[in-house]
Amino acid sequence: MGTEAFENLRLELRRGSLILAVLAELRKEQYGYTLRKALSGHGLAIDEGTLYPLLRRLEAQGLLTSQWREEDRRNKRFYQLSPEGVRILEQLGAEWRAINGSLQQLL
Amino acid sequence: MELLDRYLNFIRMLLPRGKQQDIITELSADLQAQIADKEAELGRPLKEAELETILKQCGHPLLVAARYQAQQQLIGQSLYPLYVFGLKLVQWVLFPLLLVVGVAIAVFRAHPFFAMGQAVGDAITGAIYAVGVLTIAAVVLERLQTKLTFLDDWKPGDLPKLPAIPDERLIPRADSFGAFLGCAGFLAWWTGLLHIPQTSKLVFLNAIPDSFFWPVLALFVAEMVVHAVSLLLPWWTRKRAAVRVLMDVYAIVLAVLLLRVWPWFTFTIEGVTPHELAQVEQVVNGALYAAVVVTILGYGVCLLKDLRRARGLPPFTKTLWTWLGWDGSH
Repeated sequence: MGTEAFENLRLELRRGSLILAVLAELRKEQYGYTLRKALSGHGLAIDEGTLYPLLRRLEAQGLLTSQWREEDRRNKRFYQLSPEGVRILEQLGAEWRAINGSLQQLL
Repeated sequence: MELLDRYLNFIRMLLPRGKQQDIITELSADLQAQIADKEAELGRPLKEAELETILKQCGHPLLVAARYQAQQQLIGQSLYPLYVFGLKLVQWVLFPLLLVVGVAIAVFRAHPFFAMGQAVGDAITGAIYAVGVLTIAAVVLERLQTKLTFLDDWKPGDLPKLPAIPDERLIPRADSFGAFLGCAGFLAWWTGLLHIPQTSKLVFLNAIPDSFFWPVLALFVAEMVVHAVSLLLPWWTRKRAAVRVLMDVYAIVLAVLLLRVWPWFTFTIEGVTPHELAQVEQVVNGALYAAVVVTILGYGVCLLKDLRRARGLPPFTKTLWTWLGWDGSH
């Protein structure tokens, strides 16, 4: 029961943070698989079933732009922050640092 | 790659039209990249079990496809409290209303017992319909992204003045509702609105003196009124407890007087000897005598509780349990 509660809370905590991580990582253009690997390399593993719908949602909100291109004889969709995404990332980053600072004092 | 195609085709079938190809191409590229990486790591093509592991990690097609749906929940956080409030209205207002009105009408029908069963069924069906309509309305509002302005534009001063009721003063609505229905059923029989079917082979007569008719009627009408009030305002007040004390005393006196005119029923059963008939009467009346004695004891316990409530105290305290020899450890 305790483990299950921890796991649920951990997922809830990570959910918001992952959006920030995805936006930050997409300051440079990447396609889904390399993005997943990059995030995983930073200790923020995200499965494909979560990442791709998230990318589409962020694109629909105007925070990302995407284009299909062929690379290594495969069609891949490359994502990058839009100007609006850059602005929002700055705001969210400031918010994150403020929350982090407050939590550091509490924990 | 047959397994990969089968997996992707299943997801494709569940995706929104117009986006299927785009999503599947992207997902396929990711999975193929994973497969290529794994094959490079192992230095050989993947076995079916290894491919299955990759696909399982990606998730069940139903789950993967669902994440691409624009709407992830039927009723969102902002509408949910209102939806739950609606459900409570159905549970505690509409359903009891349908039930009471239906049963009241059924009493006057040619076959009251049959009609009552139908009324209970109708009330349940009505409540289920209401829940369905409420759910559909909430889902439609959610889809339309309706902003409920009254949840934002409100004043604390407009809220109704409700008392803060401690747990020991709360009256479960289910108890009040059950007691109300029980009293209504008894009254329907007592006043003759509800006839218990009798055949020419079995006739039983109520031998309780007529002088009991109005006192018993008054008690049960009072019970119904108190339970109806408790249904609307489900907490004890000192005034209500004081009324209950009077009713408890009245009920005990009435029941004791009733015991003095026992037996209460006589029977005529075709083909049964007078001796057997006497035995039947003794068993039935004996059981009812025991039931009335238990009722007196029940009213006695209620009287003790109501006396405390009328004084603004909780019905029983730990001291009382200790005094009775129960230390609370079992």
